[in-house]
Amino acid sequence: MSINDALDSFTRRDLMRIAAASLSGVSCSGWLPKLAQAAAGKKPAKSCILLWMSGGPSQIDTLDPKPGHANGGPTKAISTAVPGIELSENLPMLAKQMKHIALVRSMKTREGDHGRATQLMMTGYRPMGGNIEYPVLGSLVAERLKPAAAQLPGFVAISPFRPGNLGAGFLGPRFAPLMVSGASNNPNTRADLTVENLDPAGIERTELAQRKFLLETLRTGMPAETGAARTHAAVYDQALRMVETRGEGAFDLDQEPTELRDAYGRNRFGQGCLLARRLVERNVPFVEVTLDVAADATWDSHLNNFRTVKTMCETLDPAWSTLLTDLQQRGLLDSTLVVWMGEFGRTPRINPNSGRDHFPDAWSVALSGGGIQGGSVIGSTTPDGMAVKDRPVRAADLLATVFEAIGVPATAENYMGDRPIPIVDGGQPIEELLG
Amino acid sequence: MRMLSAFFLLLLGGAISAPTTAQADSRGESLARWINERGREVWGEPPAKCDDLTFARRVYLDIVGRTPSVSELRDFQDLGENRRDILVERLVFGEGPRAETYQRLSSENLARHWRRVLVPPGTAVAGSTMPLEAWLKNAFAERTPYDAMMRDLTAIQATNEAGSYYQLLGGLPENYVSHLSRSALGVRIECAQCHDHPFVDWKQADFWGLAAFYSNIPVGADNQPNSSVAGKITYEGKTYPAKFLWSDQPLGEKTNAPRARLATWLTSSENPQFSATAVNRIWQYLVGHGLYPDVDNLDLATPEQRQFLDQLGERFAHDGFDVHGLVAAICKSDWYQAETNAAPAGDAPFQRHLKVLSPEQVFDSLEQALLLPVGRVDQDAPRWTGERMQLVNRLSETVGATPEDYSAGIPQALMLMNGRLTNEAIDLESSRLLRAVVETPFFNDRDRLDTLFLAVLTRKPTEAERLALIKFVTDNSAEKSQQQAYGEILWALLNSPEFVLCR
Repeated sequence: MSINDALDSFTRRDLMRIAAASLSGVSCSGWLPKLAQAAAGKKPAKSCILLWMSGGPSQIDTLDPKPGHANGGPTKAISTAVPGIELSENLPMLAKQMKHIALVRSMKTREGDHGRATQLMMTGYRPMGGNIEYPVLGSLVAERLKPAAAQLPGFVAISPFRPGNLGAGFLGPRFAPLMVSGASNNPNTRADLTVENLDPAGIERTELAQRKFLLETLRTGMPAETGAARTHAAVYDQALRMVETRGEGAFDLDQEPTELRDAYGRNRFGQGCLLARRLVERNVPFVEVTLDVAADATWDSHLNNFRTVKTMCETLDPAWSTLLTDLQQRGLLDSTLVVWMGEFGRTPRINPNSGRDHFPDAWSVALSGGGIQGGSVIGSTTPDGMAVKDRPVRAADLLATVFEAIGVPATAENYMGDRPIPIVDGGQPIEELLG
Repeated sequence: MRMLSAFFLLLLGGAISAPTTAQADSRGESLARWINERGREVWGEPPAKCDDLTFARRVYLDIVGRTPSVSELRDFQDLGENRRDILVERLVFGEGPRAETYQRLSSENLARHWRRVLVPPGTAVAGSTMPLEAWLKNAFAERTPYDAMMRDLTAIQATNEAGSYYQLLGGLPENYVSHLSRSALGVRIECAQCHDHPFVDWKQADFWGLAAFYSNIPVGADNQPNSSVAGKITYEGKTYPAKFLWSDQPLGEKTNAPRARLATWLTSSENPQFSATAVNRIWQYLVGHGLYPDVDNLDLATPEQRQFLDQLGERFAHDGFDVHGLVAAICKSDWYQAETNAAPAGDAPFQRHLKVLSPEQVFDSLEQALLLPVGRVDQDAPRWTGERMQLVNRLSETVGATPEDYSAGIPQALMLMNGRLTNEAIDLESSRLLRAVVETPFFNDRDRLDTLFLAVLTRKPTEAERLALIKFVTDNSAEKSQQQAYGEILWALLNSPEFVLCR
């Protein structure tokens, strides 16, 4: 049964039930597993969604609150669904999902510049100025997990922001991200996520078939057996399949119930998280969704940190928590690792502009799903937040954990020519989190 | 539109006579003969020559950076028996009726190519590559000998000299010598930056010994050089004296102007690594793969593998490092003009494979084929509206490691399939090419197809293609839909492997 058939099989009554569902919407209907079963038909393949917080979010005002200490500022802590674990008051919906979440509060890295730190967290390697182009996490995962006859690319990046030189690196363009951006910069349509040029202007299905026929006719004029022509044909065939199926309908967010779209949040990040779920259902092994700007705020909160982080969290909290419930209700959370991280944290000390600056010494990330032990906390920071108190975790350790969670041995190696390049730069997986 | 129609009639019907300008050597004649003979000793008899249209497509793409127009093809056919050599000379040396255009286009094209050699795709750069490309264009336009050009790059005194190449690479001695040794000498020594190289013999003393020549150039934002004098550099507490590669003797501490000495040593005609790397890169650019295919790791070649290469390098040095002469000689040779293999020909000693167009070649060929406006005064010219930049940037995301690697991905394919340039090209209202073809009086379907094929693919359709495509057109009864059918055929031509590959 294809996805489209599955969607057709939703009855009017299903939609009525959704419409009648309570405002918390997504947590209450029995229809969700239907699509999951239809989509997978069997145990779903492992995949990973990276929620990339470009700019470096403040750990103290999100995952590692310090109420009662001067460095904590005005941000209060709230209790969560797991007794004894507290989050910042900026994340009330996420707090209800705590049993699915593992916090790592002891990230300790050595890069405090956006570009260099992004490279470190995305590739696991520190920038060295050498000529090895290290692939980013998504490319590494896509290379390992992409099913042979996939219709969609193995790595989709939604509204990405990254320095120009980060990509598939030496793994090559087959594992480069398919970029998904908003169709326009109009704030009212920013949630309209599309792949550029996916839609042929004014072309019907029959005309597409004509084009395929014409292209086939012309391919015969070429020495088609040799490398470049064969690769060209393969890439075009995949692109044509994507055009024909409109990316298996993955990008048609209109197919989702209004309630659910609202629950994720009608903004680019919220709808991007929803799209990520739809892509994972269609066996895309790695999806990256970036949150860097929301309503003129950014994570880079050198000024007015508290108001800025609160604004960011108003976008983050509903999207992230809805993603977790949505995946769970479709039976996809066990097979989908959801990683939340930025390139570094922010200074516990509050600067004279009520801001917080770059801080790689002690910061937080979060992991959910993919068999990760939820409701747990790894490591801790000192009461002032200035240092890791126990169980320091390096970038490579975190990436090793990510790989192990989705079934890729952290000891794996890639080859650049004859030269072996470890998939992780010597990291140790966090064993306590792995099932 | 009437003017365009007349233009097409002229180029399909009338013959234009052209003056011929064949001269004895300095046109690469004798070097071409030497390449032919030397190749026969190494590889045996060359494959059959490609046909004229294929040859024209190759040299136009390789030298002026775009496919030939239908009228240029007509001129070429009229050049007589010696037409291939004459065409090479016109394009390489900028001679004949379009001399000025060809001089400009060929120096731009060479500069773009050499910029990619100096700054390979994926290199982290600080700033734009435009100043470097402009500097290179100027050097090629003036026919600066290759050794002089590379000497200027090597002997810089400040970060903004020689097109700001030093700045572009991040303003660090270690970055600079990594790229300089790779591009000019065909060796990759940067692995020895942090540790002695595990597979080849490069040691940290080699890497930092080369970096030491640049140690007194101000570094980064704080403008603090590693050392106050060139000639020694400190890395992780250890100080390395300047020394040339393949030498155990460090330069004396008292050496004057060490970078000038480096430049002299590096670009010397006695330095086989320098001239061999240059000819290998140019051969790779023109033929698709180097005489030794791993152009960045020439030190891994056996003496036997690089014999031809070294001899060609010697001749290149002897002829005064004349890039234009070398390009002309290779293009005139039997090996450049060999037919492309239809299928991988097993272990045939010499094979010519398909080459992939560079991003700029794709745009410039589209512009040429579609008769797009090019003038700066024309506000709709895609060259100036940002469309060229957009297409080039998108295609540049996935440039292959050699001219034979097609490495574009789905976004690149989608752009050519459904992007704005293509949509406008196949739309009767907006497409100059399409209107010229369907509105030209006296054209029958055969003429229309031939013109489209020549304009886009530089060849005529095969008989099988002609039958299938004419049937495709005439299956539509209404005149309007027949015209639209040509738009669909044009779509397929632009998206066929042949458009982005060079056979």
